[in-house]
Amino acid sequence: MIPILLGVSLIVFSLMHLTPGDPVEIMLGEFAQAAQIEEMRDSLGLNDPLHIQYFNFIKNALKGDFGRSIHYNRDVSQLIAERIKYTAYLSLAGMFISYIIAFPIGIISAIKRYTVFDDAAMIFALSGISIPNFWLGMMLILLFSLKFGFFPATGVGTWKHLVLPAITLGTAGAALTTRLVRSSMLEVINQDYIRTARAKGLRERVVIYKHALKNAMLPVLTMIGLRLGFILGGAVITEKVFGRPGMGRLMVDSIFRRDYLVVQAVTIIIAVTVLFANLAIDIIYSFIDPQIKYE
Amino acid sequence: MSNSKKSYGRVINQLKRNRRVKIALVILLIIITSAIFAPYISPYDPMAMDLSASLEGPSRAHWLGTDKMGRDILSRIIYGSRVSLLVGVVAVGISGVIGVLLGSLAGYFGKWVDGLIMRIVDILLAFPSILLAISLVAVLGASIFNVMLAIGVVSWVSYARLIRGEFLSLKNKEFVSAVEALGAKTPKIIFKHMLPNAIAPVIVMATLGMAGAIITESSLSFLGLGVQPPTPSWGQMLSKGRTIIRQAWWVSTFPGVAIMITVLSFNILGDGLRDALDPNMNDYK
Repeated sequence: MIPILLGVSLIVFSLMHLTPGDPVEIMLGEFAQAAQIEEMRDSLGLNDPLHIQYFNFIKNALKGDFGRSIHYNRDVSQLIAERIKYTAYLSLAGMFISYIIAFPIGIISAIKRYTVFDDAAMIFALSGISIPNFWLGMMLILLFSLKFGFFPATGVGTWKHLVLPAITLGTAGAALTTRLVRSSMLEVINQDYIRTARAKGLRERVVIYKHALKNAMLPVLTMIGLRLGFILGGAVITEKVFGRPGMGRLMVDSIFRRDYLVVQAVTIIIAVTVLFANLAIDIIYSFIDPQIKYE
Repeated sequence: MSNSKKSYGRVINQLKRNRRVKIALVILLIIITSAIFAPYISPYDPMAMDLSASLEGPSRAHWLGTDKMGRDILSRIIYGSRVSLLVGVVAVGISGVIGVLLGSLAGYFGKWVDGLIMRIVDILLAFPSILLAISLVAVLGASIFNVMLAIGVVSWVSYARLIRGEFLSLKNKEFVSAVEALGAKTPKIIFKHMLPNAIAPVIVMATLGMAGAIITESSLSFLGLGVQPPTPSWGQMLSKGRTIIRQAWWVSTFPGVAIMITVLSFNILGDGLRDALDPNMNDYK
């Protein structure tokens, strides 16, 4: 875990240091005096050797200090703190949508394998991963906001603002998860203990939902961590489409303002979130599946 | 050799029987052909502006309408396919080469080589790939080459994991021990003997990777980090259409349909290939 965290921070740190252009010159503008620039560089520690700069970056990041934004002239951590909840709502809603679609479709198409329903589910699954989510968002806006006026097109505030972005974000995840649920259900359904359960005379519903589903859940659960990364990445784009003032939009806008400390902070926060989510899932996993124990 | 030829024939046969794959192949052929012959088949010059024909809806003169500058959308979509396909092929090439190389090294040598490469993989997996691609392009600057590079660099991880897994199981096979005992040099063992036996799933992954790369390219272009105007690209056309979606739905609808059809075809082809190449995995995963 620690080496991975260090690796993640090293990548983000080097990315920002490879950036062409002197951040101080960008900060002070075109007409800054050489002495002024030098003074600023000193005060920001940019004249220190790289390994010292990296060490300071880690030290400050651990304290939650990501520097100051050039554009807003405020602490980056503050900017993110104001926006993180919008990204969290959106991601949670997106995940909720993807699971609420994926489970029933995946289970039914596994039970009704090779039927019309199964075929239709597969076409849904393939289409879901073939539509760019920003385009899906635009089409949803076109249809449900501009044409029918059911939901607002942009902004935040009520649950209605969350519906279209959540569907936009959740569709691809729903498609991926449907396939996963189906295949892991199929694997379980042919096991001996399912036959035993049926032979005992249990009702089919009990066999499927109690015996089979419980075991089919395991691979799906492991994927939640990876899926979170996928969802957070998608949120960056979805926020841009729906004009939601979240962390992702802050990051994209900051790229164009060359406000790199913000980009750096958002990238590292998302990566660390994904890492910890995976760790948490590993731990939960060991509770659910007693066969897995940490040595 | 005869054995691999036989299985090659079986794969072709299985693909021939799959109607979905046949349709996808036909669509892809049409897209590739029109990308190659774009100057001959597009009705208009994709860059030619005609402000008197700004934002015209679909009509007989402009089948898919015109954009704000009065440029023909169909022609821009046809030219845009060049960008999407080129980015897809080069990005998949970059990620495939890096991934296969590092994956085979990790799988063949094991020990610290494996440990090191797999740690790098773990680190990269912590980043959502689109996020890393965005950061890379932000640092390198937006251009078609940097987009290909960024997509390639962020997606080699899955190839590496795949090939490593294949190599781990191949390493204990008799034919590998045999060539080792015959004193073959390591690069020869890896590339001539082991890699050909591990390449089938890579082909599947590359096909699906084309789909992913096209989506990523369009997302980057949508954010303004992709191919720069005036070169038409699908994502960039969508991004331009977003602000005028109220007045002119066609500007942002048709390029999206083009992306969807292309990506869907690659996904269907990849799925079909997987079914055909691996008889044990007949169920879609």
